[in-house]
Amino acid sequence: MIRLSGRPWWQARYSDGRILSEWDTLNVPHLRLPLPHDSASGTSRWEEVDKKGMVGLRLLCPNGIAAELEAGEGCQFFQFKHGGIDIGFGGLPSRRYTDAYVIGIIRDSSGECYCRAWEETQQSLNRKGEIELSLMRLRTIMSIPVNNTPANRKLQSRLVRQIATMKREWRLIGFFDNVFDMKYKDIGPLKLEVQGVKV
Amino acid sequence: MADFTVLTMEANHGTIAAPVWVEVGPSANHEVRWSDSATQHNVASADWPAMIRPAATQGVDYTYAYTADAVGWGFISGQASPCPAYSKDNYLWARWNWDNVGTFASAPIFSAYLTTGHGAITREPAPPIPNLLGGSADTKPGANAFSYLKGNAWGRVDSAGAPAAGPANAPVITDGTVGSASPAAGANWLANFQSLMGDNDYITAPFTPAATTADTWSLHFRLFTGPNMQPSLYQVVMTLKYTWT
Repeated sequence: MIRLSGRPWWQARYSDGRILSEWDTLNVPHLRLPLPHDSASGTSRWEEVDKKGMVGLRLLCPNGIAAELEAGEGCQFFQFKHGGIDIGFGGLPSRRYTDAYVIGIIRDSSGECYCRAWEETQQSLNRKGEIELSLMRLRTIMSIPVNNTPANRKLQSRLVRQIATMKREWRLIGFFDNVFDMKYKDIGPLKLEVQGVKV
Repeated sequence: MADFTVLTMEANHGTIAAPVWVEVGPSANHEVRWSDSATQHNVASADWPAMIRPAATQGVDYTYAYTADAVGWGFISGQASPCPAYSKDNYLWARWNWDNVGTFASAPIFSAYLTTGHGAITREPAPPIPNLLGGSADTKPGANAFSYLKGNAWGRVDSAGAPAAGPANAPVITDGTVGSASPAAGANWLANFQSLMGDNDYITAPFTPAATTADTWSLHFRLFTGPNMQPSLYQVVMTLKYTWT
């Protein structure tokens, strides 16, 4: 079902053997299954999850791989999703998106942490993160007459949409960071209160 | 997963004294349009007039909030035509709006991208300039060129006290700070507008909004143009990036 849901789910392990899965915490009483993000699966509240005795946190990924962070009792785990909303102007589409699911463990009082993330990447980005356009597509765009006719506007919009929806890939990564100033995706300080942890 | 059910950008097509907030995204056909003409009320997108590339840099003075393809009023127009010219003192300009379902896990970030693909933006690409965000000699005060699209943001959520005045300084085409800019926390705008250039230049809120609490965050934005731009159909996405638990 995780594979079918198309997204990862966290799963916490406790020292007494209990296992709590993200879908167990959904606020829809009779629908506690890993359903797709856009289904009526309700929401879960990590801030209300019992952290006492938590000794492991997994990220169950839709490609069948699970990442796990382990620690002794008293260590502090966190999780969050990263995404946003795009408001398109000039004919571009708008969208809500999620581009990373992150679990982490705080390693010491300096806030240093280790994270695993299931993140979206673009197949068409080069190593510098630049969009790579084929010369033919670039020539097509450049050759569109600049007069403001509806046909030209429609053609330009279609090409831009094609570029915007180039094939994306998801991958599992691991990285070190610091909860007091997350470099990952320029997030900055994490709000530790909503994670239910104190450093 | 405590994400938000409702998260929108809103524009004020009422007045400062009596704001009327309308959604300009993400619903279909809701958008912001710019023009150098004050009379583009209720104009279908296919008939939107072209602008002549100016001989010198200038602002694009008229900003419209469209709620259907051919239904839209100017910002701060009082739902009347003509649209008033841009003024930084129209402080109830736009805002992000969210419901009480979600929980922010960090401070939200406001920026703009060329497409929903969020590809990296080349700062000062070779002319003619093919987009609004990369900047050019028109937007270059020193070593770095900045975006033609400038933004400003309020230093707290509006429930703690909405703006009662505009930013200290009017935006200029060379405004910008490389990387993140944040207004001082509290009743403050950024003193100078920030360049909105994808992951290169952006605005970070100086706060993390309260959990599961509906609220709004006030914004300002201003578009410029200049002789180094290439005649084209210019498109852009404005983005709120955030984390949730």
